[in-house]
Amino acid sequence: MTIDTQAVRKAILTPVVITSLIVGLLVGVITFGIVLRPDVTSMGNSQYNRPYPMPHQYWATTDEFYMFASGGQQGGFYVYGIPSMKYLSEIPIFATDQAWGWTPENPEVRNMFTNPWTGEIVERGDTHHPSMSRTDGVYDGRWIFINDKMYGRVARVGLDTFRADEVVWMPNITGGVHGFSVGPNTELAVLNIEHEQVPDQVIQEHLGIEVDRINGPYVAGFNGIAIDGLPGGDGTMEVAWQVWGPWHHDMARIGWGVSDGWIINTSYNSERALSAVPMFGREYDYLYFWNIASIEKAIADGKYVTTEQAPDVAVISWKDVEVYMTKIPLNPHGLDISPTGKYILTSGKATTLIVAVDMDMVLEAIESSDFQGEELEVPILTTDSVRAASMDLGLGPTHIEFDNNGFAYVGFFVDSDAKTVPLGGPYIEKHGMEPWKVVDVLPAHYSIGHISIPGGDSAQPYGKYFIAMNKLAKDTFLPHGPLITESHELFSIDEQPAVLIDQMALGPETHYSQGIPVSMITPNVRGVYTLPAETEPPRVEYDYENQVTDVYMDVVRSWFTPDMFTVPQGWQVNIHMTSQEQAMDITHGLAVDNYNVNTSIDPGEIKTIEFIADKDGVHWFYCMWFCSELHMEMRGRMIVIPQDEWNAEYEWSPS
Amino acid sequence: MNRKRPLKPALIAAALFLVSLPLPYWTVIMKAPTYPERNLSMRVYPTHYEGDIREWNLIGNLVGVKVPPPIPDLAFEIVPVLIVLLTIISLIAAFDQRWLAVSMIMPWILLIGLTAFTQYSLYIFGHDLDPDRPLRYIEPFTPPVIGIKKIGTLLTFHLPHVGSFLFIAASLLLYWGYRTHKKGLGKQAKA
Repeated sequence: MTIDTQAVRKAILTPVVITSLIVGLLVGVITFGIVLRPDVTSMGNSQYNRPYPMPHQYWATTDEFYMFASGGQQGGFYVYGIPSMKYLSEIPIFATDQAWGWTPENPEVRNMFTNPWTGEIVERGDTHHPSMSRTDGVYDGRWIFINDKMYGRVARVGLDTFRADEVVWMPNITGGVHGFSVGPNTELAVLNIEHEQVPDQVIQEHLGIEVDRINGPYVAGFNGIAIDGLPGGDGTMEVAWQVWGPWHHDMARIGWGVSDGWIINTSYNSERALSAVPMFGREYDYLYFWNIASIEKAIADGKYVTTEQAPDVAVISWKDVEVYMTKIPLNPHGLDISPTGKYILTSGKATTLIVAVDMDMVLEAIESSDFQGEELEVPILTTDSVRAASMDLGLGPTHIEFDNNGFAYVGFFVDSDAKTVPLGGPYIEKHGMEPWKVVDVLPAHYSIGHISIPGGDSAQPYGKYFIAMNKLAKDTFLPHGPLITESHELFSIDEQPAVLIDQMALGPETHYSQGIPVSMITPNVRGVYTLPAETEPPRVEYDYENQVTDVYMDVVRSWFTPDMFTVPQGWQVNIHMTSQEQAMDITHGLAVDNYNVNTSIDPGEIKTIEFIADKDGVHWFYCMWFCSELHMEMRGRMIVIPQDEWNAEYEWSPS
Repeated sequence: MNRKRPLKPALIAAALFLVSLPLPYWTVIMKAPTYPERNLSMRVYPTHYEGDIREWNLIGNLVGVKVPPPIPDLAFEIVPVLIVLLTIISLIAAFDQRWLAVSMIMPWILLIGLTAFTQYSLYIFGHDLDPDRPLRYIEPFTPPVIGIKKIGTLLTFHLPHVGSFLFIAASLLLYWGYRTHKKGLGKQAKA
């Protein structure tokens, strides 16, 4: 028998070759897939990588900016760190938030919630435009102000306690305010009336406009809020005046540098329409320049009226102040001033256009009466005489921010990106590029609303980071039902092209946000309130005449003193709490079972809560902030006794 | 005998005793996991004590200890008087060396007495526990005058403070002064 070596070889060779190929492929895949797989942690620019393992306090020592993000329908602020994009805190202002002790049973909060004219307690709000206090146009880290669109209010938040300290209400309007901006020395703030009004007859007569409440045209204007904000001031706000005119106003800025002394605002409804479609009925809208000195002069000359509601607020007609306007692309939204105050950039939402108006040219045109007509007695500055550039950049332009290197950034809602544009004129020597042309595109996910660069609306932008605050997050994060969280995207703009370095989910819904260097905030942050040398001794007092029970209560780990008090049913209970804590982060709370009362009390804080003891029975109250290992035991009883059963023997006494 | 020139070591010792009077003699530093922001500390002076007494007692509530422990606080009245006395004796000894032997021995007696009293206070501190204390699993304990004690997760460091060091330096100076003075006497005698 002969062996057909040829055949055997063939029979063995084929499977060997195939097996070798498969094994080789596997080895290759495994080698490239595992051994040579790119190390994700060392990709790209390593300065943005997280250390691994993460050392404790890494972000506390490396974050560069605090971000104060308006909360929109959340009614206050969100606070987070940049570049960590780590949520730090919330600052409730216009809406209740029991976790932060922001509830109307505390009289200080209730005062901020109370409409001064109707007495109504309002627990809703819609915060839009934060504005940092500033000195010489530069952030100074004292306060941040913000407006509530819904009710026409402005709040001041202290940047030491991160708590709202004051709320002022705009008179003569039913709310609907929008653009808000603080002046370069925190001496004045302007708040635009976006939703046109049917004001008091006194105002209509002063304006010479009779408003038909059904068919309009309505009137609007803007509020001037005087702030005790010069160095040494305490930040107290007071509505000083209102300028009324035929137009509503959307975004607002108070100029500085070249534009110092001017309030600059836009109107997307120069058509004076009362429904949406006619609001983009013509080819253009207006950018307005209001001379602040002329407003002061009108008041000095007595050219104002006051209303019964606000006898201290001067109502001024637009005819009595110096105002100019110029045509800008249809339905503008963004309105931002470059760091030196020279360029005013504004965008037409209903167009693809961004225009740069040069304030030097505006002042020259005003000087030489370079007008191309007038509308409703307001001179229109000749478009070509004031415009430095008109750029066709993309769909749905919204807001504009500036960095420290002479670039403007424009957010686009429809394009879902931001575009970087070098500014012209004196800024050219900073970047050395051909101005007014797109040099970089920052893709966002999705539909940018506002954008923010730390210091980007001031005389001194800090640059380095760009945050896109997207209106739609869609598929950016894990799905979580039909209401999708907001998306903030962090870009490094130290380099061009800019790099997306982080994405953050944040609660609804941010409008504008402002970033400020950590070094301006951290030295002043208060962790503990200093207790006075003597505090109220714990006790309970009964006032039979006014039917009030005053409970003076010490709160400290891990008990309330007294931990029991009695009260006749139907009486008012005032619990005056003193937190005897002096240690950082030891916040207590007081929640009363079945009583719609829940608040918090910070270390060293002295705080009162007031409510009516309308339900009889034994009601436990307890600490609702986890404070110590005996936190659960930190509770006490409120015993409400029907009035017909009550006698003086039930009165609390020290035992 | 050389009565004209005062003895320098005794003079310096007197000054050191006086300087130590307003300074802390002893300190306790507590490291607690719930206070990462800073260590709690307490300093004991000849005349009083101070520090994070409030926080100490808030934490102590759980274990049933109390600052100060229930001992007569007469010490804060006696000790400063004794230190002033030491100053005076040292001063006298500087000018009249017959007092040197007395001044050399007295500080050591006081030091031993103070240490014993502190240890006694610490014993009371750790043993006279509130019977209603929440954390009864913590057994009575005795922290050392000098050393480290761990109660649960609370780590305490017990250390002499600057006053004690000045006091000891003064005592050593007096001893040295006594020795050199005696040698001097011996040489005089030989001569």
